[in-house]
Amino acid sequence: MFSKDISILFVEDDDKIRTEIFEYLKQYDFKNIYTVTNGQEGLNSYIEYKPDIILTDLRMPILDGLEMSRKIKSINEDIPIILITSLFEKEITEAAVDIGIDAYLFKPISNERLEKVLEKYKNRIFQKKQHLNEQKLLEEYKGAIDASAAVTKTDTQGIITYVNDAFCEMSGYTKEELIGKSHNIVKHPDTIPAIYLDMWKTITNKKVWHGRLKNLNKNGRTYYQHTVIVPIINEDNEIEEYIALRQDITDLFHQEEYLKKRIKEEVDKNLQLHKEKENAKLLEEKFSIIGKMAAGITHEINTPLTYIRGNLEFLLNDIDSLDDSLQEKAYLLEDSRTIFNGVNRIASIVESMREVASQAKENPELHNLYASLITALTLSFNKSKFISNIKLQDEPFRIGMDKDKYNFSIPIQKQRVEQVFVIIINNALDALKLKEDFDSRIFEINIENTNEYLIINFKDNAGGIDKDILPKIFDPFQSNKEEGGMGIGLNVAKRIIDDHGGKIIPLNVDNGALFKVYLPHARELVTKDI
Amino acid sequence: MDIKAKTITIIDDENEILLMLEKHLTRQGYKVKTFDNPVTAISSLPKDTDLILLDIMMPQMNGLDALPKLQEKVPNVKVLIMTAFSTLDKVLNAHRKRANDYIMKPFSSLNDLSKKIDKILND
Repeated sequence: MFSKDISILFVEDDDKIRTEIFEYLKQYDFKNIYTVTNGQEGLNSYIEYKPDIILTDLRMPILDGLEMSRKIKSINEDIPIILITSLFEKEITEAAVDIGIDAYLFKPISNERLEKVLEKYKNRIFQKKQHLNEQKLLEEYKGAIDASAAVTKTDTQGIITYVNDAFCEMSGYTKEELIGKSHNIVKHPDTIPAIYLDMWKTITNKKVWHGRLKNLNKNGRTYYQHTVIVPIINEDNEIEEYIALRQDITDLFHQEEYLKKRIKEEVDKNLQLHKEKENAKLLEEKFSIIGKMAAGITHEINTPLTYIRGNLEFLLNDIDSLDDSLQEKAYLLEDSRTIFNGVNRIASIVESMREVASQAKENPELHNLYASLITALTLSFNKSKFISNIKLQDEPFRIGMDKDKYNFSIPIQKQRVEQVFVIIINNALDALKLKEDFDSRIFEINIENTNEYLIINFKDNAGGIDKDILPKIFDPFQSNKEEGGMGIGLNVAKRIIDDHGGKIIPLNVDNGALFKVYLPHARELVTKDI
Repeated sequence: MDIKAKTITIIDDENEILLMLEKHLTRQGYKVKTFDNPVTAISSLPKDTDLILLDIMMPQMNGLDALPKLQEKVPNVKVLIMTAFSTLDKVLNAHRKRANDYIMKPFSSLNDLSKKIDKILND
């Protein structure tokens, strides 16, 4: 029985025969039976319905069976055409062979004969249909593969026998440049030989190999491919060729590399931060210990220094009161003074240790510099009230002034900065003391605000700083004071202001000294290694 | 001038300093009383004390803690703080607790100390 997939075109002018054969055909369960009465209608129906097989009478009006067949075969030479004829003439036979008529049925047509011929063509048509479907499917597969992968075929020696467009595009070579060449043409020189060894071992064992390959294209660009190589085995179970499919994963690879790099950077950064934190902690501990030690040592040394120096003073007075005629008096005086100088030197060194001790960890916080100046002036008031009037921000300073009248807030280590102010104020007072008349002494302090700094100006009219001293004023032990100072004050002050990222500039202006202290608005404190 | 000699009480845990200061101030004509710890000083502070020379760091009691108790004992007594190690907060603290002045150890000279004492007593 014919499957419902096949359609037949039946062309016959004789009403009787047509009806008779149509009855036979109906038994075969065709998908469609198209019945027409002459060659022209037959041609038209072929073009319109594309039947799978044609059964046609020879002699018909308008267009006979042979002419119709010639025209249809010129459209599709594979279509099976069965010719019904009662004649057997030489010319017709030759013409039919030329046209390519597939079979003949002679009138009168028996059902058995018809079935036999149709049965024969049924199988051919089936196979052909199936083959066409398979081919179509293969074409679709190939299209899908070509669209998604770079494909090559190679012989058993690794010589390229086929490449698709995607592979050409990826590698930068033309088909002509690739076919007949070894696959090594795209191999990156960095590729680890072990990868290729593994690949060949796998595919020569008739197994599929998967892997990632680094390749180099014609323009020298590196690209990465996920590669699948399939060995094709023939009937004798021998490898015939290899098909390789590749997908470009260069972007993926770079993303992966980027992620790896970023992760490594993050890990390294955190390790580094951790290390820095640890170091800072260690330093802080060290600093704190040194600070405590310095405080302890300062106290312990200062205590005996106090009575040593007091008693030395007694000794000097006692020696002084000896009779000048005594020969040893001069020696005693000289020796005692040497000792006295030595003791003073120890006192200076210990004084500088006070700074180290007090440096121990004060965190910078926002403070009003105006208030700090009032604090410093209050601390110095016992001294200043006998020496000079002081103007702060153009207003005479007095105890109990409103500390919030101006706001010059800035991040500072408050105690240390106030210590700087006390040092500078006391220096100015010591200088002013040498000026004769109380009323002629001028000492003015003003705060100036700029974008970058708050600037505190300490200005006196005590004659200015000695030209020789000025360049080394911040060196320790540069005091030109007759009494009191250790000469360490300004050195300490400079270090404190340096730590704040600021600066102190000493100038001689209008027959006096002007100390400009710059403190930056925003800046992290410099942590000092000690 | 028949001025009654002023009384100065010295409180310091260091004996040599007491001896040295006592010698110096006695020579200057003051009446001097010494204590080597603030606890005894609080209980036995002479009523006629005009000025106390007070050390800060002492083992039994911090001088700044002793200060209000001493002032309670002799109201209006003047106080000069002596300190061998000073940070400004301590000095500020001393000011808050109404010490009249402070002097750092070691003194730059005994003369300096005398000047401060004169100044306080004549204020």
